[in-house]
Amino acid sequence: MLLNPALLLWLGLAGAPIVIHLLNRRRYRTLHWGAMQFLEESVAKSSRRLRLEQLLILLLRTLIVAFIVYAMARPFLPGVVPGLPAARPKRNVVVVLDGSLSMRYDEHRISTFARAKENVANIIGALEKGDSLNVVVAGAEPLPLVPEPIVDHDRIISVLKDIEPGGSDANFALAFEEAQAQLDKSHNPIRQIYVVTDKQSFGWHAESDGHWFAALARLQRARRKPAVYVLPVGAQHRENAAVTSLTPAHDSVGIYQETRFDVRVSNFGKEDREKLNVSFSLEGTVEQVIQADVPAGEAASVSFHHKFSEAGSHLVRVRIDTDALPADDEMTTSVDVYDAIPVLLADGSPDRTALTRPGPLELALCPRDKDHPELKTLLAPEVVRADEMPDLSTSKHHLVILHDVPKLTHRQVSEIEAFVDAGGGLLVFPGEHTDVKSYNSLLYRDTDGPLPATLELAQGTEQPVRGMAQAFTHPALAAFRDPKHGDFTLIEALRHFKLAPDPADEHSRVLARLANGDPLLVEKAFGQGRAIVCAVPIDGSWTNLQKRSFFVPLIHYMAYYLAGSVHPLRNVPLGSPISRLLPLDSKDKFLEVYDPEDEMHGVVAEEKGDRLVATFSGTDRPGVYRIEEPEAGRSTYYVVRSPTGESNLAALDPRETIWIEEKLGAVFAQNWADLHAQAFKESKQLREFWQLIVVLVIGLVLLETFLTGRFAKRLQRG
Amino acid sequence: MPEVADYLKPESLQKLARMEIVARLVVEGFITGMHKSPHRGFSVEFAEHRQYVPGDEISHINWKAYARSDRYYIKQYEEETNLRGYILLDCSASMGYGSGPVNKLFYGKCLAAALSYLMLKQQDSAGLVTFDNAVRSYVPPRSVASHLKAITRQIDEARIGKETSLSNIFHDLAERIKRRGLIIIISDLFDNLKDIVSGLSHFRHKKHEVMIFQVLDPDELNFPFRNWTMFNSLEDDAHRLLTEPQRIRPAYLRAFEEFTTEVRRHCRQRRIDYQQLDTAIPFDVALATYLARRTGSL
Repeated sequence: MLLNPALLLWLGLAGAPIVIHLLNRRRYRTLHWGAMQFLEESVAKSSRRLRLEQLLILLLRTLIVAFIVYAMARPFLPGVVPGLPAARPKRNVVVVLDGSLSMRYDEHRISTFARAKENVANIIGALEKGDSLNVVVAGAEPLPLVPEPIVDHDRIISVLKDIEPGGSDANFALAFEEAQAQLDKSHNPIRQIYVVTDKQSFGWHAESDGHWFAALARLQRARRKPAVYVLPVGAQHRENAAVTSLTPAHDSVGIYQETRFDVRVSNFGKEDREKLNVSFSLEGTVEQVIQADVPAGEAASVSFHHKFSEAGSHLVRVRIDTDALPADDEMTTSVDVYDAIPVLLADGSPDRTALTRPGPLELALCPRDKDHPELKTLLAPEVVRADEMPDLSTSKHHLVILHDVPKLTHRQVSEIEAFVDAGGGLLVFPGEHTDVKSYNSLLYRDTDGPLPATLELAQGTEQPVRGMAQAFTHPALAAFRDPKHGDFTLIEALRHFKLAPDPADEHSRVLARLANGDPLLVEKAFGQGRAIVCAVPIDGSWTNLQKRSFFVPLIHYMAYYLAGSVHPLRNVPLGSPISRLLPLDSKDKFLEVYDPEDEMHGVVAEEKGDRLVATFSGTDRPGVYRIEEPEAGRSTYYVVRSPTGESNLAALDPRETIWIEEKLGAVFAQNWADLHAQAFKESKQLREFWQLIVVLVIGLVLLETFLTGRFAKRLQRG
Repeated sequence: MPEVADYLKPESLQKLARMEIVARLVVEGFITGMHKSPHRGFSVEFAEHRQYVPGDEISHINWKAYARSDRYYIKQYEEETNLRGYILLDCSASMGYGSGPVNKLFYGKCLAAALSYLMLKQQDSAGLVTFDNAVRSYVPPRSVASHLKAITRQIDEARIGKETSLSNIFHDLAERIKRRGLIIIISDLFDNLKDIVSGLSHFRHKKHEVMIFQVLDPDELNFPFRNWTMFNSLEDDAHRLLTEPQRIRPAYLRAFEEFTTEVRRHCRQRRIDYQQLDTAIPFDVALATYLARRTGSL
């Protein structure tokens, strides 16, 4: 019986001396020779002896190779054999240690991760000298502690001491794949994978064959499948409440504007949390505290309102009362606060061409009240004639409004497209002078352009068409869900454009409709930006919209919504890169990135298109990152967030457990004692005898050397 | 320009087209090296008178004898008194072996040419027989200097032949050559020892003096091969032998040594001069052996 039977395949090597001998014979030279009579005589005299000598040497060499291969295959005898050393086949062990955020859960002041490390130490302690070992920490990406399994267990223990759980989930599929790759790097015969985890369901993606595709395929291919043991650590049941969402009501936040922050607090436990303190703080200073009741297994929504008095990048943090898993008890968001949002309004109405007095749209965007500067809106419109539109590729506008613009040139269309694609907003009001064909062919372009729908002038009716009452959910219109804030049925349209979005275009959607079912507002996501088209112009001969009290808020909400995509994103998931865009003429080419530990990393801004882009990819820890532009003296905050799923500590359910058992062949242990009994049960009664074979091989080598020398000497002596 | 003495080295003769030139160069080189004339002591000497018969050259009549005896006597000193040398050159296939720049046959041809030139120069008669398993050419012995051309032409024309059959040739020639003379055998002697000895005995029985130059290649003497080798017989295409030469070298050398020792012993018993030559040895060794023998035989 052998511990490494696969190595017997190398037995073929034993034939090597014979093959070499035969090859030598085949590679003879040919010589035309005269003195054959002496040759024949000599061969006749020596051939029998020579052949015997050759056979003896060949036999010895073949035996030496065969015995070496046999010894490497580790032969053993079952049971006790006196005089032979007791041995157990060597193990090849990889421990997958759950390094997800949930492992930070404190239980009697000891974190689950610390308990897990204790159990890993137990496993390592149960190993024997010569067992190969590695530990793979399962996070978003698996992290092996050493490049390949080693037999120096103390080194693993010392490296393991400094390991702390990360802020992400544990991708067990990737970790399992890595564990198998590690197993393949060692040749010890007993292959074992130990998974030490808090048994949290999130991260396992059990029952998802797609997620586990690569790991399962590797397992299928494996010639010798590893034994997999799952050792749960920590309490069976764990209470946890977490802040699972924090978002400003609008992406564009202006100074002096009351901004609402929606907070979601989830209770993943089985006990109700009453009067849970939810505090709202800005730049570290607590501004407000609200108490919320969060029933078990449910979530509560809380809103905070705040007015920013300073433009720039701000950090808003919401925190609830600390529980056993403090990492998810707070959430931070980075908010860019603007003191102005530049808007370009291109107006094509003939009476506006002189631009002598502000039109209703311009007034709506920027109500001029010099006496009350705090009422100044965020929007800073620049009004131009349709034919005077500036080059959008270099402008700083966040939003372009086309009002009754008759026709667009090809150049203007491509500029608008690039502008929206890069994150800008587009608001289109077609009107009297709009060349429908031109819009449809250039700006809509069979759904390839940014215009959300085709335009067609609807047949005029004697009775005006009213707006439809709807329960608005769209962020730009959510304020009008309550008719008190704006009753869309009061809108009357004498004429309107029939907007026809392509139903198959998943990027466009109707936001509001008229009572006859025709769309009133249609939105389209285009690249990183968005566009909205309205079925009516702001013109008294078409509609009474501008006379309605909610006209100004409607325009503002739509403008904030469209202008508000802040790119690149300030709040990103763990591992996503963060970047800063700068104008080409910026003096800041070398930016400083400060990570959550306030360690500085240098980033070089690179020219991409018409701007500079600085990207930092090392966002492997959750928390607040800060990009500083030293020349401009400006800081921008970025928040890297852990996946909120980690807060849900629910353990694997029985179905998931069965899936894991079946697919991975895993055995779930109850605790360390149970694991020890199951995984370390094999007998120690094996008796290996490769050492004896090594002694035999040494003897054979000595004999071969002696005989070869002796034969050679005899040849020399003649 | 090579010195004349350089032509005593076999490899330097390779480029020379004709054996006549080879013979002259070798012998002149040899003589130059001796620093004394080889003619002295056994040059033209009076042997006897015989009675004049019509047809004899009048110039050869010994007038002094006529004055004393009143009979015409002719002075005889050339053919009758001088040596009749037969050079037997072995052209069998085994003579075609050569590890260095020259093979054994070439060496033998040079040696034959040189010896015949030397013999003619000394007014001895020189004849040539080339053979393999049969006599291939025969040039009867003459003593005139112009005879060298006839001999060297035959030497030039000699080609590698078939297998050896020394004893048959020896017996055949022993019968054919009526007048006793000096038989010079140039051969590797690769044949059955018994047969060779019986052939040689036949020569001796017919009162011929015999000299043997056994021409060998250094490879045949040292057997320096190491790797697996297929030995193809030069004399028999079907005869081949695959072996690991270094392993049989001792046995080979022993067999070879036994053979040459036996040859030597038999030669000694039959008062036959035996000289072993390998193709790297300059010709003066062979020539000197011949001269020593020539001197001794007179």
